[in-house]
Amino acid sequence: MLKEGGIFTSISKLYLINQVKGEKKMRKKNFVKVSTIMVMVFLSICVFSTLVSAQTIRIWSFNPSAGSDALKVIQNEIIPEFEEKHPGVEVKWQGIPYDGYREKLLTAAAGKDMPDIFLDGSTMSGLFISKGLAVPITKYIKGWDIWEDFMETARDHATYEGEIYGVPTRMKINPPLYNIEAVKSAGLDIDNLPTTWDDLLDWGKKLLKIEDNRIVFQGISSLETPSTRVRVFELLLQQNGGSLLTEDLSAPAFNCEKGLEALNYFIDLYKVTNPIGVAPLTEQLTTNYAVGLEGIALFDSYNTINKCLLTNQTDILGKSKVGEPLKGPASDGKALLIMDGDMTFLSSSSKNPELAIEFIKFFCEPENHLKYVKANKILPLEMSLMNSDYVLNTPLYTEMMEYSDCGWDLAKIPEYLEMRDKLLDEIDKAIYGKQTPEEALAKGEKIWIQGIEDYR
Amino acid sequence: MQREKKFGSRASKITDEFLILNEGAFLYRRAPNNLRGIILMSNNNNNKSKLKKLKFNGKVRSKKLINENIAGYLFAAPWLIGFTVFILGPIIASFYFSFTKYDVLSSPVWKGLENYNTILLDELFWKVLGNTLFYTAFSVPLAVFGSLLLAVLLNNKIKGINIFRTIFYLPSVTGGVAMALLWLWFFDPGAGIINMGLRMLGKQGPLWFQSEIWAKPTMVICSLIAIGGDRCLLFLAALQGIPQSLYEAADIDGASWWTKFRYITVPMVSPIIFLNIMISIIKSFRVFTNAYVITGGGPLNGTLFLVLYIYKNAFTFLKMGYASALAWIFFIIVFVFSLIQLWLSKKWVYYET
Amino acid sequence: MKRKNIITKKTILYICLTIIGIIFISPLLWVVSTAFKTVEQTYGSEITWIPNPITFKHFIKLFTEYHLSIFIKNSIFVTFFSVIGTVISCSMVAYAFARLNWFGKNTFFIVLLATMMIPQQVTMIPLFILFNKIGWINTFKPLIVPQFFAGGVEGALYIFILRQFIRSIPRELDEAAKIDGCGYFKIYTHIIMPLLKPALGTIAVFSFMLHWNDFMTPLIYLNDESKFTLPVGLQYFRLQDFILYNELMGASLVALLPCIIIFFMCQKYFIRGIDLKAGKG
Repeated sequence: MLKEGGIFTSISKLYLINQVKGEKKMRKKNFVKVSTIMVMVFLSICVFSTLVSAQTIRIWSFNPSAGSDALKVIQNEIIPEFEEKHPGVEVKWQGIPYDGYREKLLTAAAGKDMPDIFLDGSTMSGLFISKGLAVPITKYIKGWDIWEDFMETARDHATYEGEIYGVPTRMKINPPLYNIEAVKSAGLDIDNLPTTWDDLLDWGKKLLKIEDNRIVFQGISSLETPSTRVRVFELLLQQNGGSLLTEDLSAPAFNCEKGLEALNYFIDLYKVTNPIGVAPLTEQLTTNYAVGLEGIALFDSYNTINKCLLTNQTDILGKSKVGEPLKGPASDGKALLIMDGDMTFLSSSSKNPELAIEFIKFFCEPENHLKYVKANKILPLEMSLMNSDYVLNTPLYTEMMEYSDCGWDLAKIPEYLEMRDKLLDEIDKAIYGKQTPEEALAKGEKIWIQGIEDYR
Repeated sequence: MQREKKFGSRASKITDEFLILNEGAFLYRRAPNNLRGIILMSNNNNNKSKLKKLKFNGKVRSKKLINENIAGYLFAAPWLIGFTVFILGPIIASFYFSFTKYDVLSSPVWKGLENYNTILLDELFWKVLGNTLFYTAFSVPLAVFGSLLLAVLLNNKIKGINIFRTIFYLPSVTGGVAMALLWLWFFDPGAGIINMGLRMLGKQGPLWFQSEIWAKPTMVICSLIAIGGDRCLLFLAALQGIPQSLYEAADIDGASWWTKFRYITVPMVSPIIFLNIMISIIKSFRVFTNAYVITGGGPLNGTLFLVLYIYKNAFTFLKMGYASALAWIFFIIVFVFSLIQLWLSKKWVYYET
Repeated sequence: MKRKNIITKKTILYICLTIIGIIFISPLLWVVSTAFKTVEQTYGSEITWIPNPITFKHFIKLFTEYHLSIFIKNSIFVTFFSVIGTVISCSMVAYAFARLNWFGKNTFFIVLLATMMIPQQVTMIPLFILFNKIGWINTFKPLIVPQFFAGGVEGALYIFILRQFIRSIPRELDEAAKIDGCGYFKIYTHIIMPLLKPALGTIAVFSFMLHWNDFMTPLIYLNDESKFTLPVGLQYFRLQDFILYNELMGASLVALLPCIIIFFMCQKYFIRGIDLKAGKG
């Protein structure tokens, strides 16, 4: 295809003739070209190289998330004030999406590039502490007067085997949230909210509306995301009086009758929230609940409310009713509501631990804490702020907080991401009917025993 | 002959070829002292007599060779360094890691063949392999023959054919995450255009990426948008190399369109078909971006392809040893496939001798 | 009769090509269409190809709040230097293989060909660990530096193509220049490089496409949002809480545009690229 010889030879001949004539010109041109490139390279290296001052503190969180009001308040008000008081120090707080947040942290850990401080749920403490990624901060907290002001449950969450590992930043309680209008139009009694699993399933079926093989009204909030599915199974298991691991965290404990009941219920629930073969509701605006397309916000009602408030749908509080936590059949009649919270973790590879903790302490001073919780639409964790106007004007939150004592917090389970992933695979297979629930739990148990052994 | 004996064969060759070329004027300055000789070329044959011969002495030649050696290494240095540091080293290291258990936070622990054992016994690995082979088995033939048919269509000299060629080439230029997001939206079961269109026609569309059965075929469909690109152009070039006389002879014999295609076109472009199949197979094994962005592994791990599985193990679960073992198995599979292809090609590729 | 036949053939051809063309181009048109729609129209129950009204609001949001401009800047930086590195190093090495005789050249050439078969994943993990130990994680260096050493699988392919190209340049030019007193480097810069420009153009274009769309490498090495390149940034968008499809398509459009523009401007390089590749086959 290429005509070797002819074209190129003649072109080159012409070129060489010109070259002889303009040889000096070429040299100059070349020199200019080469030097421009080198100057550009040099400049770009200068401009783009990370000028990390010796005193930079990096903080990562999925809540507050990128672009949220809370993060803006932190970046525009709290951080500048701190930087003024400590010249030469730079604080960078980055919001990261929840999906893949832990993977990102682990990858950063592998690259010895972890942020100084990262926020995560207290349930993940086990994961980070066992991998040596989070260090105790007891010595920094001793003698800090504000520490005693924090809610007791919050403080408990941040303590693991006697050592304090972080400062609480958020507490989450997730009682079911009922869309009053939807409930009424489905002919259900808003004053007689479900208290048992079967009741809830019944309501879910009545609230679900399918048209043309796609969901037009979501009965109970969707279980689409894999991480939600794992969490929900865990919650159901606990509502039924079981748990994923035994007390001493040495063996899996979900392959029992309580676990089987929970899994069977989970499969039934899945068929009501995400019927197989039916097109799900495309994520519209903030959350389907907020746009009035969801009947019951079951799994993450706390976040649902937050999302609504963040997008100025404050009427959501008036349109919803908080329900009681649910009882599983084997739960001894006691309704359990699982509560957990977020806290700060100090990473083991931090170069400025004292400075980082100082920032966190500054962040928790009542003035700043109030700014933060207001922007993040959450309840303050410091008891001295409970009588502020802000708290008295968000009744839904106080209602939810009433339940905070009747739950039991999640034990600090070393959560292996991979093991949870694999358990979810087995559960998914059971949902799609590829295997029975019993098989799923048996296989899951085997995998977890293997995983725990490997880990030890 | 005399010239050769006196000055060495190389010198004579050069002067001969300069004589032959003779297309322009070359002026050279006097050569440096260690090369005794000047070459003077002129435009017309009348001045041949002005040609003088090159003289080399032995020392110069050997010095030149040494310089050439050093120069060769200097010029090839980027690749030599790059190969050692970025390819050879990692391959050896990867081989070593595949026998260890290594999460980067602590040092590697030797485990022998345990990783390979686990992989071969793992149900999920075979599912992943099945997914990848399914994808390859469907996307490669469809892509190769699709682009061949397109090339045949585009090979006609009708007005505006260039516009069509551009339109078909354009989608193959795009790629990466942007296209993956497009597919996500295109095939959205609720509000995506495909299902909306089907709904308007009264039919119910499947759940595409969210359906267990349809996820892999949808991936294959997404890969087909690029068939009008590189491969098609290769075929086009090859088709244009087929002599028209063959077709005319077939027409005289009264051959139908299909016969012409099967007995003239296909054999004549079979080397290019082979090339395309090789390239397509290797590319299809590397599918990652679409799977990661759109489904993240898919319903029931249905779109978990080999590269995505390796990535997950290495960077999500930090099991570098296990992932290295997987990568080596991947390598062996690709290698074996290529060898099979090469061996098979001898049977069906028709080379014009 | 024959004329009628030809006309019907032509019409059938035109119809076929148009229908298939529409199928192929519709996804891209849909991106453009959705990118300018309002939210209601995006999620509405009617299919509208031409948005009415055409909105730009979310583009402003994309560029400021969602940092799309930072991603673009990073992508340009990484791609620019990667392409320069590839072009310089591949042409140097190709010159060595094509013109110079050095010890072990042929063996190394076979090795070069063999590296084309190695999948990136085999080297990916140890490279990550290597860069980890050097401390290059979360910088642009792992993305750019290997390109200056003819790194990666594409490096071998480009070297091969350039070598074929250089071989087609007559040796007499070299010899003439040598007698003139040029050293090997001068031959390289004054003779080979200028003549190599068409092929280099093709290599540059293909290398640009590769690095602009490269997803896995930045995903592994970049941790800070301020350093993300476009592909990683787009994936990041998608995971945000409040992203809507018209915004997402707008961002995708911005990411696709450079490739499309370069395609239209440099069509001849694409076609020449095929020539070169087929020449090798």
